[in-house]
Amino acid sequence: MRIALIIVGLAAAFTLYVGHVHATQQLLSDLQDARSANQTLHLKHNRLKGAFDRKTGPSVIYERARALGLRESVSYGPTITVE
Amino acid sequence: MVLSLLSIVPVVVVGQILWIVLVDGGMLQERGREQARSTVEVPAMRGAILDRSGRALAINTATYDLALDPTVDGFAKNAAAFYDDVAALTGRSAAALRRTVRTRHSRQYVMLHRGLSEQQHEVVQRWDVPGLILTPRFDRRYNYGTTAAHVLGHVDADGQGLAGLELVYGEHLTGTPGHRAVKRDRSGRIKAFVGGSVDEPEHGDNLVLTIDLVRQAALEDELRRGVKKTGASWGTAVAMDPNTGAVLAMANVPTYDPNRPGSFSSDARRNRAITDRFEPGSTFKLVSAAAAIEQDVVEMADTVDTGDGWVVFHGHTMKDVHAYGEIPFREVIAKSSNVGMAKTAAQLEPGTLYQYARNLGFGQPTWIDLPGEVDGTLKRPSSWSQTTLTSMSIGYEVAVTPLQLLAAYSTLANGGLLVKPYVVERRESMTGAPLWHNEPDSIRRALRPETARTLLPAFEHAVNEGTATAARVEGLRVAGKTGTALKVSGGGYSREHGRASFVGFFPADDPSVALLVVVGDPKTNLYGGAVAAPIFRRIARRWAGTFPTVRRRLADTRPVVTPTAPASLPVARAPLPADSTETLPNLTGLSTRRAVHWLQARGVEVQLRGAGTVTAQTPAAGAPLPARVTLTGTD
Repeated sequence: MRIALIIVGLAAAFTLYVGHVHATQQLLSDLQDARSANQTLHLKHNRLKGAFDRKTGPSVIYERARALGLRESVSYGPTITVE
Repeated sequence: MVLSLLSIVPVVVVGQILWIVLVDGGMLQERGREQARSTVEVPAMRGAILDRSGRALAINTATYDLALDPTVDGFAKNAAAFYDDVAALTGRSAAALRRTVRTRHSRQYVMLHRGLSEQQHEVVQRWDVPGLILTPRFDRRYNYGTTAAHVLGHVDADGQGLAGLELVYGEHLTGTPGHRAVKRDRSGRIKAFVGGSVDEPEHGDNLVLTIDLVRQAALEDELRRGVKKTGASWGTAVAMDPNTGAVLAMANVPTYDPNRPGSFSSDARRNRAITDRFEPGSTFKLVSAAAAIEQDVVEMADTVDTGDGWVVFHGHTMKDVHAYGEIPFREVIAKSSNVGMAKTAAQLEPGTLYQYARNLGFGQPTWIDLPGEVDGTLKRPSSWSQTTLTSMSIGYEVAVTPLQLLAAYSTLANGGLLVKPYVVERRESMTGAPLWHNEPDSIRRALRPETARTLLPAFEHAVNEGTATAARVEGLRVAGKTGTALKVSGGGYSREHGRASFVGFFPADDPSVALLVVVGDPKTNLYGGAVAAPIFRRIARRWAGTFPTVRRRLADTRPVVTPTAPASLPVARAPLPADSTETLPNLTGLSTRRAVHWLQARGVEVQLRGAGTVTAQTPAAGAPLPARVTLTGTD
């Protein structure tokens, strides 16, 4: 009886160990995927922000302002935020 | 006998098994692991380039290379549709793609297209064609196109810097790739495994520049308009803080887009501010004047006889634009009299003028952190002709770069120190941790402070009443000098080709900005005062408000405008409290301009929605004077 319990215990411990190894392996794999996704999103953010910056950059704003008939002048006082 | 031999077989087998397990086991296991594992490179990301306010000028995005292994099972039956799809996606013809595959050098690999965008990549992934190989890599992106192109430079297809900061700081921007041990399964797919060694990549450093995007764009805008208006072939403009050497903006026309440098000529890619030499003409009179004053050859009030506007030196006639007669030396500078300056400089020893030119940075690099800078040409006195002294005193027989000239005028502006120009303010890690900070550095004392103080009024006079009145800005003290130089052509000086320039600084008594504009081969007029000075003025007007100290001075000198309001809004004429520093008055009904002015005069930050007349305000009237007020206008 005692021997049987020991064998069952060992089998359970072995099963847990194998499960742990697989889980760790899976976790590492998920981590790599997450890192890869993070970098992809980071690069995508760069691309989209770049596209936004290109369309709202000062040189574009100057052109639009001029097209609207605004004229450059000496600016008195700090910048005013217009929403 | 046979039975005996047969009985030995199991023993031999067991013995062999034991031998393999006990003796060769370790070695075989290691070999198996080696076959199943390998190391892959983890690329490092190139550092970003940011302007002084943190706006990203150069960043990384993802791009993909499309390659093919046409020997893979299943590709042949999809080939026709595949070529058509790739052709539609990339713009190449299907026939050209087939030819590329047919004439490939490697049996199992052929590159079809480099640089697929993310959208294209997503489309290709949906095809599910056997044998497709999509390789990701980083792509460099310059967010603002041509803005600051010559400063930023560009990279090649492999991400290596080829020009500008991308080249000079390539070592810091590039970073170090990492490595990761991976395991391959039977189908060749790679996976990370527990316990596998990992060397994380060291991403490149970010560069934070001294340049401000808004100022840079304004300077480029005005330079481009000025070059176009005067029908010139090219133009260059550089601005720097004369006290530190920090470059505030640098631009050239024509320019190029670093996102596709191959589409532009080498002429457009050249940073003329540091690679082009030109005879500076009258702007070089700073050197002669400084030498003459510091060596006590002349004083500012001394009279110089410029006669009828011409003089002959060793058989060569030198002329002025007008005949000025007898004028004080400060007028010689302000009116840019060649005769007066040459007569004064003739009293100097050749070595003295040469030494002042060297001390002010001519004939040597400025050591700016940009590639391709040239020294200019400054002949040693031993190789001077009889006319070199007088010619050089008015800016001929000497060649300078625009940046050298600006550095020399910065010396006058800051009280006599020649400073080293620089473009990179600091380096940071990708997470923003500071790594290195550029300390402003003076190269030498080129002028005594009293010499700079003595000369300054003459250069301010040149702007107020001399040759550079077109550079004058209302409410702002500007000092500077025009330059007009003819270009050598066919063995002589051609009036068809010239360099018109203006270099100055503002505010003259406490300079924040030194700015140089050079225009090449203008068609409408050849003189610096008519071509370059107006460009300087327009840039200065747009820049002035971006410097708090200059802005405050401008506000003090602002013309008083009495606001008028529509008759239907009688409250608009209601007087505002003259000096309410405790409570917020009722601003509704006032013109937004007047309300903004009133608030700003009391240090309140204003957020304005719309324009016209103020219809609402937050906080409400009567509240303690806040740090920030939101106004809503009628329009």
